[in-house]
Amino acid sequence: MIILVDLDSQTPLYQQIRDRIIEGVADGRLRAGDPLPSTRQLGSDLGINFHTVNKGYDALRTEGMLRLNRKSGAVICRDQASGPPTAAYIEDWEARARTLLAEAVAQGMAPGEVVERCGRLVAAFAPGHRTEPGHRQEGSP
Amino acid sequence: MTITVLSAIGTVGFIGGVLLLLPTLARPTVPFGVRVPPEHIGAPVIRHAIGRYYQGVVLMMLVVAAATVAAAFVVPPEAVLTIAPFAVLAAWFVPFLAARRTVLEEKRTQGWFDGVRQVAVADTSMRTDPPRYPWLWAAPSILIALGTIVVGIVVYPTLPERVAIHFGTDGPDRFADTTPWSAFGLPAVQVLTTLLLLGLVTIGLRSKVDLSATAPQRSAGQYRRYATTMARLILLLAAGMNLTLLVVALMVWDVVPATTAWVAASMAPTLIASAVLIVAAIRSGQSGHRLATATPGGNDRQPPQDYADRDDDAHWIGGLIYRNRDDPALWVPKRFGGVGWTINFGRPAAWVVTAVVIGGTLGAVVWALIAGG
Repeated sequence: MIILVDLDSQTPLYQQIRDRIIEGVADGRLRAGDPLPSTRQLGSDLGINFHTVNKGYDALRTEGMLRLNRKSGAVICRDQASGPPTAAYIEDWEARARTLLAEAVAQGMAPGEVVERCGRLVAAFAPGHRTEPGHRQEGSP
Repeated sequence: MTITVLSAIGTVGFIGGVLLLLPTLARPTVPFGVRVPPEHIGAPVIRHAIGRYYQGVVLMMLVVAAATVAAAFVVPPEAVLTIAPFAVLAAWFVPFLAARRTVLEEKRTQGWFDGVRQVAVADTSMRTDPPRYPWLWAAPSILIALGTIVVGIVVYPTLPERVAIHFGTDGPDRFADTTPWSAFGLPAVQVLTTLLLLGLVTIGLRSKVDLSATAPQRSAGQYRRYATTMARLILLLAAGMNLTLLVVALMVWDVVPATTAWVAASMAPTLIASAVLIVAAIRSGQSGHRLATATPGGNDRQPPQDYADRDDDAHWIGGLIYRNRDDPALWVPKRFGGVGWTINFGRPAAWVVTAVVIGGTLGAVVWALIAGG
């Protein structure tokens, strides 16, 4: 999977790494059981400090998306097939989504358009909607 | 003397020819080691700088060749042959730095990176599903070296009291007393060559990957093919060099006669393998940017217009030497100066590697002195 980080962005680099991996899991490029590069390797490939990558991986671990293991490295441990999340997670997610949707409404976007755009974005995550040729897709063992 | 001076001029011509290829081999995003945003790739000022570079290198070759002929009247021709390559490389800095300054100046005054979003790209599959080490290609070099050692052990008791340690154009011209040091010098060189080139392949396969911000998917595919091909051909070169050393060892041990035909035959494997490697390097360019991709443009969606690879000029001294403390990578693709990898001097390990290389060179010289008695 290609990970692109914007070095001039307001968003911190660790946050961007975390976001790109979450998106990769959502659209099926990454699945439960898939390994990620070590923090050192990804830091080296991106030319950034590996502590930054570590911070991103740690955020994913806290969210229950990533298993960090000294022997097997970083492994994705949740995906669409893992079943619905906990009620506590949904509550927390809804609070964050509310803020993001409020931004659009506050800027004057029509509620109907907001819903329509949200629908299109979620549909794009459907399994098999987006594949990267040349990347070996491996399911969980 | 004439032959020596002609070889010196030939060396100047060969090195000059390689230097003329450098702008073609470098990625178009880093002409003369200067990072350029996509919008300015192949800008008129860059094409102009490349033209001036060609003129400068040709002029420099003529000057060094003339100086070589003149110097041969004053100093021994052998000294001229040794110095000529260094003279070319030293003189090369004049056209190179001039071209580099032209591009740098335009980039700075025209603000090429103003309003451009600098991004970094990585392909996780290069790490989670890396190209495998081509052990099958490594096998010939290892087997030839082992075979040479076995032949050496078998013939050692039958060796005469003195063995040849140096071959000139007319066959052996220097001899030393037969000791394990003098008799097994060539297998030792084989073992070192094999270890060095096998290690180089490991470095190449593990090095940082050069991806383009505007075509990450395509450049990832190109880099993968490039790394695989280079790994195989470096191992082919190891086999070729070991075969050359095997034939030379057979001449030293008097298993085959040290005739001109055998000397020529000994050189052939190394020359052929080198030629194959050079042709492949020219065809792929640095990091494989010249390789054709299955689908033109790769599988990349149209990238945002204002994306560019990060402006990392400050970490590249003269566009040639990499020094970045914040980069965990030890080995990185070269920026300018052909196809291959270089080291990050911002990492302490880089100085260990440098010490080992210098120590190894000194060790080889000491060995030669001991063997030469």
